[in-house]
Amino acid sequence: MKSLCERLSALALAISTLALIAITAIVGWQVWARYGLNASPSWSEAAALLLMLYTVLFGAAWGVRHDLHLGFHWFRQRLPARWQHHCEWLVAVAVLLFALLMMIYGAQMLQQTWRYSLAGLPLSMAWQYLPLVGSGALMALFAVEKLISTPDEH
Amino acid sequence: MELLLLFGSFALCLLIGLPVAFCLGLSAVITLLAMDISPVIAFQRMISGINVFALMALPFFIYAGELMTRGGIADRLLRFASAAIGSVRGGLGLVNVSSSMLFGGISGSAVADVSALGSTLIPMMEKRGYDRDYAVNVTTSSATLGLLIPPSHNMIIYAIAAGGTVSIASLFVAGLLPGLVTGLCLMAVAYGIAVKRGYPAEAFPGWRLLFATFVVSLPGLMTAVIILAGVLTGVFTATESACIAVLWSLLVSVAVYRGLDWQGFMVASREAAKTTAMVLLVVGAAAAFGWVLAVLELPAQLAALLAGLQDHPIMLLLLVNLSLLALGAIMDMAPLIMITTPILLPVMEKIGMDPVQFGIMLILNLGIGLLTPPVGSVLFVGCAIAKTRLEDTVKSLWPFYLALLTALLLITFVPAISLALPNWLNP
Repeated sequence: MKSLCERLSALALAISTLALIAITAIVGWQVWARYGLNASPSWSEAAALLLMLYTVLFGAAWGVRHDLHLGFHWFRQRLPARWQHHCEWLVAVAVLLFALLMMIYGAQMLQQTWRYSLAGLPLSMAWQYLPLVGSGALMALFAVEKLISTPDEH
Repeated sequence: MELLLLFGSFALCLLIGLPVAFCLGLSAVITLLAMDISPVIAFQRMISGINVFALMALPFFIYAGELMTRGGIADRLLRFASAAIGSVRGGLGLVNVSSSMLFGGISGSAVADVSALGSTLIPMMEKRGYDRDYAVNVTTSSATLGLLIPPSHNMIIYAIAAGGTVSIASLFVAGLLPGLVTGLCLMAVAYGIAVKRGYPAEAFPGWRLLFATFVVSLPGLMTAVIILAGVLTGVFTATESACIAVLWSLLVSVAVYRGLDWQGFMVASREAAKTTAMVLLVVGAAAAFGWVLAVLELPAQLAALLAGLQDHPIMLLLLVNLSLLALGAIMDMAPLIMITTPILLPVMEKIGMDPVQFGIMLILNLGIGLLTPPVGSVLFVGCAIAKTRLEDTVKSLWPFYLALLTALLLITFVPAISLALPNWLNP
């Protein structure tokens, strides 16, 4: 379980990073094409926007496993140790819940939009909602990992 | 009732330590369910909240900042600032503030400022006999300058939260003078304390070395110039200029400063991707939350409530500033900009405040929040770098805090500080 999650979170970060590098290259190409080649590509903006969703959502999944998301811990840290454990457990449950909702509603939108194509790109609109499903699945897995690894006083 | 549910569930999630993005998203979903609206809309809003071309400037700024930080630009700027004003009494304190001004123009992020400059400056200051609390306080308080001096990615978030009515170019230009004013306030305090505590002055290195350090830091400073010139002349959009800044900082770090190899590049890319994901997930979730707020007509209700104070604009401004300071103490900047802008901006416009000036005020105000416990990310990073306890530094932070509040009052009540430059250049 641990090594699987480790590998999957590394994969998520790799997707996120590669998408960011690709966005930079695409927008850079867009500027060069407009001034250097005098021809604005019609696909670049749409492609960069699509990739941004992959950067954000897969990076966010990595953040769930590595506790990097911005949060407010001041109050929790002042609770007795027992209560802190309860809070951590609740947080993992809440993340799991939200991740499952992301998957369910992401899949619903995926289904509704797969026939339509994205403006400016020869791709289905479903590609826009795919990271919602993928990232939701990863987040749910990482939340379950946290739930399993907390001491079994719950 | 639904409003209570929205804020109640949000507060509860926040208190148990659920990350802000999930608090925003989950409370929006719960409220939608209670209102019998399909929560699918929350996720649609989240996606469309991230899918904004202007917002893409944000990952680019973060990326450029990462490359610059790892590629050695911070050290060059530091050497230049040190050569220029190190010879005044307490010189390193002033060098600290002015490097933040220069570096802030490149990184645009307060946390990046503290980690890049603090890790060099704090040990350097201690070695020269400065007290550790002073070193940390100067570093953390001057890091707020990075938020004001363009390019600042928080201004992009503000421009988007304001609904696209405020131009990013105006905001960028508008941030310059307030950044300078705030910097001068901080320098005055840093100097005053340095004299009182008898801190040393550095030797003046001579004009030749000063010029040399300037030339060396020039390619780094060009990053800010490229962005500003591109946006102001309208040759590039803010997003495109930010992208060029990434490519430029890559070129400078690799070819000019030779501070970045392949591995360093990949580390910088990964770090930029992580930060981008964390910030933009919050922005997306806040878009969903904000949509529910709008359905519940909270902005309109609050505006009506505050309308009674319209005849007392000074009271209203103080009230708004105080509530923002309080919010800034418990929450991070990005979600607060996203949530408070649509609520407060209409009210502020009614009393005749320019949206550009409000943006500058909002950002400085929330920037002060980064120094305020319980949630003060800049303060925490500063203390972590100096390996000191929060309690020890906060005790002597108040003069710097006062300087920042003075600057905030000036910016709130003197519109010209924010508006003179944009009006003059008329971008």
